[in-house]
Amino acid sequence: MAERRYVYAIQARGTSLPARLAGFGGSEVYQVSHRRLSALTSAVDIGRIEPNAPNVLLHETVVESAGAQGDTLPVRFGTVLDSDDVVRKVLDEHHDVLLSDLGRLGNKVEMGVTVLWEPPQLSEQVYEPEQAATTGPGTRYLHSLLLKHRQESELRVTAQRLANEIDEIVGHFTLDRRQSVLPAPRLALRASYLLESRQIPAFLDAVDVLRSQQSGHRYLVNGPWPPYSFVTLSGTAGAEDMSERFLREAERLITAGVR
Amino acid sequence: MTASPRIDAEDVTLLELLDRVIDRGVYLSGDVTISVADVDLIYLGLKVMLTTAERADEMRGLTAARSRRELSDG
Repeated sequence: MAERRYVYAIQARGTSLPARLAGFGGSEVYQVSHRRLSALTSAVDIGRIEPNAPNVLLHETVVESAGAQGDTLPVRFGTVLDSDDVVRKVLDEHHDVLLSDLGRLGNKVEMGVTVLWEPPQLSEQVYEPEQAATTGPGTRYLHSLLLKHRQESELRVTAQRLANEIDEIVGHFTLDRRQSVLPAPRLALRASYLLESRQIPAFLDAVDVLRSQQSGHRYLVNGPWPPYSFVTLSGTAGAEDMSERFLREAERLITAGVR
Repeated sequence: MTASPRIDAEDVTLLELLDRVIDRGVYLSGDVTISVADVDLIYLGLKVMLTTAERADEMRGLTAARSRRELSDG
């Protein structure tokens, strides 16, 4: 079975590598360098690398171990190229963007914030009895759709207002932000904030202030992570383009009693 | 919140990690071969299952044309 190359992260050429850093299948992680960049790589069999918990954790371990040595860009899980030559080709193709991102993000981290809430009571428009008597089922159905749309819009406005309040407070310590407002009825907000490591304590203090001010909401904070959400070569619409099914499962898990 | 079995904070952290490494990070196009299993389910340590069916479909070049499920409470 031909060996391929699994790519974990991008660094500046010349960055030290942790000794005997192991990747998938126990293969040693090494650097494939081209121009001013290096890709952290290991040999893998052509078979599948399942996105299960141990593999995802291994990927992240390599990325974070690399990050301890120097500026690092995290590569998406499951990136497998045919050979070292192809890795160099890809580095060449995206060289300037990767180098720019490395300078902008390589020594930064991201913190995640998820806000859970009980959706607030919304205004409800109902038919007057005389209206109900004169409208047919089709009209009533369309009315119910319209009402539902209006309620969702109202909810989204409220969630956006909350997101703005959060921005106002944590914005003093953060450099950038990606957010998804009301991704699910009980998830008011999911956001990632880019910041310098030294700002993490201040960021956490700011979230504590928000918690005390909005006791009806639950704030879940996670991180620090490598800056996954802020890279330029994201391939999709970005951090806000999340799997709807993933989010629904996230809502179910998170509202199931997380402390 | 609805009373239900306690989920550890570790589950939430793994969930957040999954979201990042699978859906974000540097995407290297061109000759990339994405090796992702056909399995739609990701098994967490406490047997909580997530599905990345849409992500797997994307990677296989399929158009996700799934109907929305209504979100369920609790």
